[in-house]
Amino acid sequence: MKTAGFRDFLYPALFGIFLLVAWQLFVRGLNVPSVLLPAPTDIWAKLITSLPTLYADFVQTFIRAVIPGWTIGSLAGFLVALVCDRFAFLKQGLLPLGNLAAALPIVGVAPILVMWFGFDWQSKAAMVVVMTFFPMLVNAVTGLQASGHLERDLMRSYGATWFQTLLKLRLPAAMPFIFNALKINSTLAMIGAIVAEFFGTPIVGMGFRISTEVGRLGLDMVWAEIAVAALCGSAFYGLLTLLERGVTFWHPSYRR
Amino acid sequence: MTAQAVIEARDLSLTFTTADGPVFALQGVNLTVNDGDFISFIGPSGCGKTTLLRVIADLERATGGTIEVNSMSPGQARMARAYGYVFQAPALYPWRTVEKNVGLPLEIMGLSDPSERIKRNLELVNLSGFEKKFPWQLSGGMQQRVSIARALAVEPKLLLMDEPFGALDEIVRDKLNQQLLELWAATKKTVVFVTHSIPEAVFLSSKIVVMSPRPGRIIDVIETNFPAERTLDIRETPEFLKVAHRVREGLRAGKSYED
Amino acid sequence: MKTSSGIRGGSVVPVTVIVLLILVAWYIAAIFMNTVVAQPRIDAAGGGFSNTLSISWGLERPIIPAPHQVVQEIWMTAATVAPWETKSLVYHVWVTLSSTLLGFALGTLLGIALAIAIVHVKLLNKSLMPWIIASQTIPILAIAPMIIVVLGSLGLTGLLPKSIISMYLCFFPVTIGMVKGLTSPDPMQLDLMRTYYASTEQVLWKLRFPASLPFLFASLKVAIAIALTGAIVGELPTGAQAGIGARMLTGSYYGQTVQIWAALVAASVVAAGLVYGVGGVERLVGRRLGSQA
Repeated sequence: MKTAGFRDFLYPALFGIFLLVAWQLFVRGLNVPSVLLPAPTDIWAKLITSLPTLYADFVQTFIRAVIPGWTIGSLAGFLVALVCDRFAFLKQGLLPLGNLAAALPIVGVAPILVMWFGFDWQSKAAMVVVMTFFPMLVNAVTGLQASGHLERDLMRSYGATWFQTLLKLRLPAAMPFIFNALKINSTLAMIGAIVAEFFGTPIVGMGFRISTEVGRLGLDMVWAEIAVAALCGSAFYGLLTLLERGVTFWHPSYRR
Repeated sequence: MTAQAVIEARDLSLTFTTADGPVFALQGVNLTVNDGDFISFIGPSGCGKTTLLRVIADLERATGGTIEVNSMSPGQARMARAYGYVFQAPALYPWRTVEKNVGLPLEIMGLSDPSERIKRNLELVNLSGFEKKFPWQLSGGMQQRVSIARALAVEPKLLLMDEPFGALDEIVRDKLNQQLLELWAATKKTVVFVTHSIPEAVFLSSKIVVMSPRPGRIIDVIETNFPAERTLDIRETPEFLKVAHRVREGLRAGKSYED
Repeated sequence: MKTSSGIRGGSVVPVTVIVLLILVAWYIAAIFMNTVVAQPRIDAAGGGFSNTLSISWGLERPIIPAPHQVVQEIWMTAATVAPWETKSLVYHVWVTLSSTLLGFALGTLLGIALAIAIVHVKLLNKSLMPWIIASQTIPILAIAPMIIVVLGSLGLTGLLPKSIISMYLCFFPVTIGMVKGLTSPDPMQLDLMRTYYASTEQVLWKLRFPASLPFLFASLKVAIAIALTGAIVGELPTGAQAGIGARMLTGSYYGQTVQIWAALVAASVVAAGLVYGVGGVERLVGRRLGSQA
């Protein structure tokens, strides 16, 4: 299994530090007004002093909208994929539509969802469900096909039922695809929840904070929210990657 | 008549350092290949025959001893484009037609009008008329013939072939063996041929180098004296079987048949 | 070279059946979801089945507009109005489309250039790639408003800031896809180039680039869809006057539900058309480069 070397952390870390320093020098050196681009030090100062607000926003957006939405959307996508797998007619009909839907600007349904589910976190969670459903559907269907003909014939020679074959062969073989979708969905979920908040929300939430602070030109707060959002997103993604490595350790992409 | 040595290897060694310890791919190899020879390297997997070929082609670097190709180092020979290399698989570029595939090395060399050379070399492998086809439209044997034409297009004096017919079925293989022999007789090139098929080696070569593994070394060098214009029927003659037997003895001596 | 199948993935009959089923479900859902607004009017008209249908599907401000209402709205604002008037849906579509296409072109060029650099300079690969991946965890769509405002106060309004958002969104899939594609040739094909003593540029243009085209086109389809989304979201923050996103926003301010749905359908048609267009280019290129499709 590939283990990350010291250099694999060093180079990106050095590059990141380089970026931050360059940013700071650029803002201070050229006297860029903070309504345009705040310096990293200003952002840090704002971040430290706004922890309660940031935490409340985090809870509203991430805990109440992203996590439930991501779970329901991914689960729904997976279950529909199972049904599609069982009934080929459904698969032939739904998959092209699913591919199409994944390309559509789904954020556009945000105002409609607010109309149906109200202003609070439920409409944001609904937005996340809509955004995460199709990537999971498309990936899970592909994943369920991923087991090879030889392996499936072997199961048939054992007289295994559809369910046994699913559990022992096709699900494990589908895991790389399912995890791919789960990771994509983690980013999409964050985007969906935050953008949905642009369309109306009680006075808390990352998207709400960003849009109001942009209106007030409080860009240091905006960047502080971005930093928190990026941190959440990276941590979520990283957790999924660790989980994926544990479950799909056998996949060729992990060999040296 | 003293033949000119095209390849001269003295005490050649190559040791790979791997996570499981050193691998002695080649050890103490002494070899002379003369102009116009058809020389085969034969042995089981891991005996170093492909490695030796790759050292000649400067695709691997030796760790000990010396080797000269056309009286130059392998690196210089590669720069001078002194050889054509045929791989185990056709390695054709799927987005290029047959003629563009054959013309690839000529493009890289910067030849201004390669069309005449392409046509000539496709004729040599009996594939005239297939210029505009794409690789996926050809059978495995035909694709491999295109890759041979491609190697010949550079008009090198030396042709290096790494089990070129290994992936083909026996009947196609027989046909290609015959065609390769006729090609060699017509063009008088020096051919270094890697194979693990005893009949193929005995049929094609003027000289057979029997190798064995762990460490990779030469067990025997056999000169065959078959008539230049031979057909596949020669494989049933007693002279042929005698040579084949000697090859087998060499392999056995090199412990190739043991685990 | 194998091409990807894109939107065409199944046979016509199942898709048509599913689409019809969806339409039927839509009509039925409209009845139920519109009850709150519709019921008083239905009762006033005397109740009954035909009244229920005609009123539920004919509301001016429905919760869910019926499909034919959406089609009517699109017809009225696209076919009956001149394309250059601000009332025309075609005008708004063009505004969004122009920044999408510009952003897409810029993002693709940036993505390809980055990918070539990453593949050839080992240092860049190790230091830049992790950040590029991490950059995608920042919800760019979420900071689109900020980018628009900042660029606006610098004097850049209209087409350019939206294109920059689209560009930022779509360079990532292009980079990732191209890196995968440029490194896809197998060792034998690379060895072949070595036996020809080919230079790095020759290997790039004769081997790596053609081999990467399937990956590039797959990424381009993702990129163009996401560029459209970026352009739409870019229209939201400053209460923009023109564009599909602006239409959706004004629709939601004034409670014009049908307008929102019409804009959404228009956006979907544009998205599908763009992806299909990329697929068409892919087929053309594939035919010239001997694909087996």
